[in-house]
Amino acid sequence: MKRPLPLIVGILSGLVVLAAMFFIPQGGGILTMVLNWVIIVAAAALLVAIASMVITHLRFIASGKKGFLLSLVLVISFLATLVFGLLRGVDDPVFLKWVGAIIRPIETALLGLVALVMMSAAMKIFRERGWSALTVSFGVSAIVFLILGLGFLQNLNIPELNEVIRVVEALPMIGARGLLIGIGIGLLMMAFRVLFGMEGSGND
Amino acid sequence: MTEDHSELNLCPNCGKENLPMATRCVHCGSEIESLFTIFGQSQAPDEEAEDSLPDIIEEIRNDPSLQIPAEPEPSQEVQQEDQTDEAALPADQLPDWLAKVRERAQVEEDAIGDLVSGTIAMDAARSEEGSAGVEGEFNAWINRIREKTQQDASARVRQIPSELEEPDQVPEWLQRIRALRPRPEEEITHEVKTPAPYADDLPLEWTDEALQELRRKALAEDHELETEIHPSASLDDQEQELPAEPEAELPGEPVQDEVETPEEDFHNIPNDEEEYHVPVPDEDLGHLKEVDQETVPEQIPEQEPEIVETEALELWLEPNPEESAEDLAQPETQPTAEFGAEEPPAEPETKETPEQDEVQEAILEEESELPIREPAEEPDESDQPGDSAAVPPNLLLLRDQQDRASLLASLIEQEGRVTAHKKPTRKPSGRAGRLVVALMLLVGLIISILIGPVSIPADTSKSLPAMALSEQIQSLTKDDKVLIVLDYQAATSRELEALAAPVLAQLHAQDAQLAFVTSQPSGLFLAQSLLEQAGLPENTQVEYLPGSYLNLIGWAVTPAISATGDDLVTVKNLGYFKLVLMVSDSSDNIRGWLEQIAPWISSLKFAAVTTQMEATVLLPYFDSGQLVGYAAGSADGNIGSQTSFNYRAYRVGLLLMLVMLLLGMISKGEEDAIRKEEEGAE
Repeated sequence: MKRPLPLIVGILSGLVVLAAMFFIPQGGGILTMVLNWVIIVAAAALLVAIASMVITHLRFIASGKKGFLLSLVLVISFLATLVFGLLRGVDDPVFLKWVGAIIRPIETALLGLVALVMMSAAMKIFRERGWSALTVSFGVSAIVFLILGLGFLQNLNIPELNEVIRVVEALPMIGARGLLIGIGIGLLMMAFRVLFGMEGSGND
Repeated sequence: MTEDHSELNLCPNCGKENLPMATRCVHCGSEIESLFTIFGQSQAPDEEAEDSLPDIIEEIRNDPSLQIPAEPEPSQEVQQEDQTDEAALPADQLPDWLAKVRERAQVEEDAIGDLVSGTIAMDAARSEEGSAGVEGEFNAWINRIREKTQQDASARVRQIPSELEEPDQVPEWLQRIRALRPRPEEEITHEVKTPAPYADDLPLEWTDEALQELRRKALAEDHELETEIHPSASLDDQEQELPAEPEAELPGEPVQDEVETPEEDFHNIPNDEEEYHVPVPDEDLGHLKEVDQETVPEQIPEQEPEIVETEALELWLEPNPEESAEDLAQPETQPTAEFGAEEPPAEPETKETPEQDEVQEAILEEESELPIREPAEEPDESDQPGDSAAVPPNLLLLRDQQDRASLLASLIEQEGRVTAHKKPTRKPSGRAGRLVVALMLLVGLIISILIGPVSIPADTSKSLPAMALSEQIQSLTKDDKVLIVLDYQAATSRELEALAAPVLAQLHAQDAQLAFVTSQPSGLFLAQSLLEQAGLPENTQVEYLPGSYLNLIGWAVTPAISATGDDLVTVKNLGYFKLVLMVSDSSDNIRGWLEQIAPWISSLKFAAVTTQMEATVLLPYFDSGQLVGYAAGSADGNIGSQTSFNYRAYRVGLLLMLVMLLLGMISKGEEDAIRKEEEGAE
């Protein structure tokens, strides 16, 4: 059972934006206004999400739930950043450097772990999935592009080999193009479903 | 108040009268059991009532009340006795009516009438049929009880071996094995000094080694016994040689004569193992022949080998007051005795009947199934007695008996013990392997980092999009406005800054007007690092653009108009820019810019600096011309001098990943090969 009001709002918004896109520059003002609404609502949703996160972790701390120390660290960090930002401003170089000095190594380390996990997964994929077309093609392509990434073959400066390398490096474009076409068709179908009330927030 | 003494009960103890309802005698206090006794029912206590079933059956069988009378009709004597009992009453004590009835019955022949007599006859016939049916049911019931009793008895007998496995009790097979070993008090000769492997001279568990040790002991002791008693035989051994196959040429008659004298039915095979009581085949004695060939020629007399062996057999089978009783119960002594006794001298073993062939084949099959036979058959030469020239016949018995005892011991051991299940072969978890791999990776990376950063060689070839980007940047002139969009996270900041910093430095060197916006909150502090690496002034303004490219649609659709055109970002008009350079780690955001913004401003060019992981998705946009160029990866970043990018560590990482991938393939191939080999073995 779908509620009619959200359904009607969704359909009308989609039709208005679509019409505004077709009738430029007359519809440009409407399009800009609707997009600004979207940005404001998204910012408000972000604030709600932040508040929800803080309240949730405060509950964890109050109830002494397992891992509440991490929640305590999160809340303290959030409050310190908030207070520091309110006092010094978001453009203050000291504040920006202080925040960057914390966030940058943490996220970089996490990305390094992702590299290790992917390496382990590449090693285990044959043991777990066995020999199949998918795993074999994955292994062969990974080996080929890892060798190409090392740059040894390119440094040989062999014209024929360079031509082969160029062809091989262009192969991913085929897959990427198919991927993009698939994404476009999927988005189109989703847009039609929203416009015709078959998809969206109208569901109970 | 009167008392009816006819209803009073007499006490079985004192004989005095008690009331009918009294349970105890009021005079002596003893319990009046007759009140509650039922005729024919035993008054034994509950314990006695729980007698065994055979006892109950026996009681029922012997109960005269349940016995079938041999003569169903009362005998004439009994009738006469009844009549005499009745007649014994004095006539004056009989009532009048009874006297009249008797008188009439004496006068009339059929006083009771034909109808009544017929009814009585029919009832008698029915009672006979009914008694016969009851008797049949009773007999069937008794038979069922007997069968059940026999089953219980047999089950009880089956449980006896398990009870005998208690430590304080010796099982029968162990007693037999012990009987093989001459005890010190039974030994005629001195005891052989051999180290006792067990504290009580008997192992707790009869393993193959224990049985082999036992057999060696028996060999040594028996041989000493033989040499002590027959010194002449040992003297003759030096002069004579043993024939090649003494068993085959062993004459049977002398042995038969002497063997049969002590015990005609001598054998130590249990009654339940008579089916195994077959002559030892010639193949089974092959190992003895080998031993004989090796050791006998210098010790066994050649002319009278049969006499020596016969004497040995005689000594072995000589009724020892203590040992003979146990030896008679030993299995497998009979085969040798019969081996010599049953075969006539004219028919050696080479002549075998078909039945004997079948028996030998069966024995060979049985022996081939015994796993303990092969290692236990041939002892080491060092363990053999030096003067074991004439292999005593009891050796054959010992070996064969050892096999049987080992088999029996293993069976009993498996029955008595809780069978230890075969531990499932635990599949290696591979944690150690993964740990080694991780350590190798980390060590390689750390070493490559510690050696020091190495920049990409200047002659490293760039990709085609990177070369196009370089050309676009070089084509910019002074005061060309370039919008720099910072859209990346801190995690990818190292890679992107290494690529973007040289580009920005080149743009700054060409005096292009740069405007910076960021669609990520983290871009505010990340831009500082980028500007520092590019050599741009620290006061360069970076605007935060909420909503990402959606916010810029208005700039493109309804651009603001600036009087001078130098306001750039503050004016919110994208038409002033000649190039938009997106530094992004998300191909989706770049795609949004290209699909949502670019169509509105045809003169605006878009370029990108992205990670190598996202570069593949941008290839079609570059191929279609929507992107004038992009830089991705370490090689494409070789636009200028790079000090923050460690090219050596990057290549070491790629090399390690390549090794890991190959290791995964090899391990899988090895696993498949092992599995196929196991399947083939199965």
